Amino acid sequence: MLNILTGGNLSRMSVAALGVSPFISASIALQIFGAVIPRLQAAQKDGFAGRKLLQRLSFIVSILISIGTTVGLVRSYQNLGLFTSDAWYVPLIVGGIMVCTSAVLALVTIVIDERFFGRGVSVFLLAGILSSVPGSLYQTFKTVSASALFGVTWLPTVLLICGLIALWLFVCWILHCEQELPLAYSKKAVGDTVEGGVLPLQLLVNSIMPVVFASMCLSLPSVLRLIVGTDVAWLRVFDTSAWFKVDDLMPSLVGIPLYICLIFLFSKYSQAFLMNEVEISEALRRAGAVIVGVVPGHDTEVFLQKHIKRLRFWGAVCLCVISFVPILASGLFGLSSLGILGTSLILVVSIIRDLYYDFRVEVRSGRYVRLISRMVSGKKSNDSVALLWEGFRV
Amino acid sequence: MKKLSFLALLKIGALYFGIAALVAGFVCGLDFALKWMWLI
Repeated sequence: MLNILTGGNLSRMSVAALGVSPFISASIALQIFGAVIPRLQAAQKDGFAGRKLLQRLSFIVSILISIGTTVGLVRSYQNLGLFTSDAWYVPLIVGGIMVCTSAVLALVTIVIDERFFGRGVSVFLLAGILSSVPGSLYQTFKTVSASALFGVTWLPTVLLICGLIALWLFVCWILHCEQELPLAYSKKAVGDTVEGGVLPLQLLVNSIMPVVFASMCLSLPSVLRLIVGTDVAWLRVFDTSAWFKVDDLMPSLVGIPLYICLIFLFSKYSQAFLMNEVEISEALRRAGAVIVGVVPGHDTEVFLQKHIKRLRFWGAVCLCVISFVPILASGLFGLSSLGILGTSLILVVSIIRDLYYDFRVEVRSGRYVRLISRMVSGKKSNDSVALLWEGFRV
Repeated sequence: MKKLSFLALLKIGALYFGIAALVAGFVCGLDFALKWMWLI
């Protein structure tokens, strides 16, 4: 999992081996602690100033996390005998480089967040995951094309292509699924007609966090095994490559239900942080909107709770299916490179969707700003456009 | 549930695939170019 989050840098032993994973962990940790620490909760709702404070805190926490991870990794490299020299400064230099590069990458993500569209962490993740996709797909197709099903050599390749397209479309579908509740605005009544709108409730509010969390929980014992340096048999339960082995059923029987339960629980409860019926009901009241056919106040909360509960359940089920199907396929057909596909697919599609939406907003706002600039100055002035553009961005 | 037609889903899927292919092409191309120039 750590390797996915670093975009394969860890397995390649790159200079930036940790990538932006400490910054991701720090952001997730601060988001979770925001629910229990009032100061953080206030910062999350405090607009620009709060975002600045959270960015600084994330940066500091990410350095602490990268120091902790580096100590563990350097220790595991020593256990594996990867260092050719026994000098005391060798682990120190390797660890120092890893911590410094992850700090530089965290700074770059903050700059991308502030100056460009999209989120810096997402851009790094997307580039990292997609850089390893062509190679792993080539390996998978090479293995599959060498096999035959019912005596037909092209059948496995066609089945694999169809399966990948179906999975891609399924991920796109669940990320666009939303329930629209009809709204009526009491303050916008004109004569007998009342202006209406819709309240969109997404099936998956945050699709990345639960899968990342579940996979991290599963990979933690394996990392600990590397650090400690002793091989404990029962830790194979957490190793996805040990699943679906006919000669040793214990990892499959314990590990698979555990993985599904973890994704299901994290998905259900992480969305509870982000989609809260009390907050939505309060926002509707402030906007002067009511859900058609529902009395404002307590009834609206109960109504929203019922719908949100159902959406959370089905969202969690869909996430389990997407994460589990590639692992099942990799276990049954012996394609180890397919195992991480589910996690990667969800990450890639949701990042592309967010980037595309951000890009559209930027394009539209850019046009809007240029139009106003022309109306104000009466002529096309590049300086005024740039000035307005800067003002708009701030 | 908001209805998303199969055609619309295909369009979204193709659009996202196109963006993914562009990013993958750019990253892999850059990787290849840097390796070719012996920089990494």
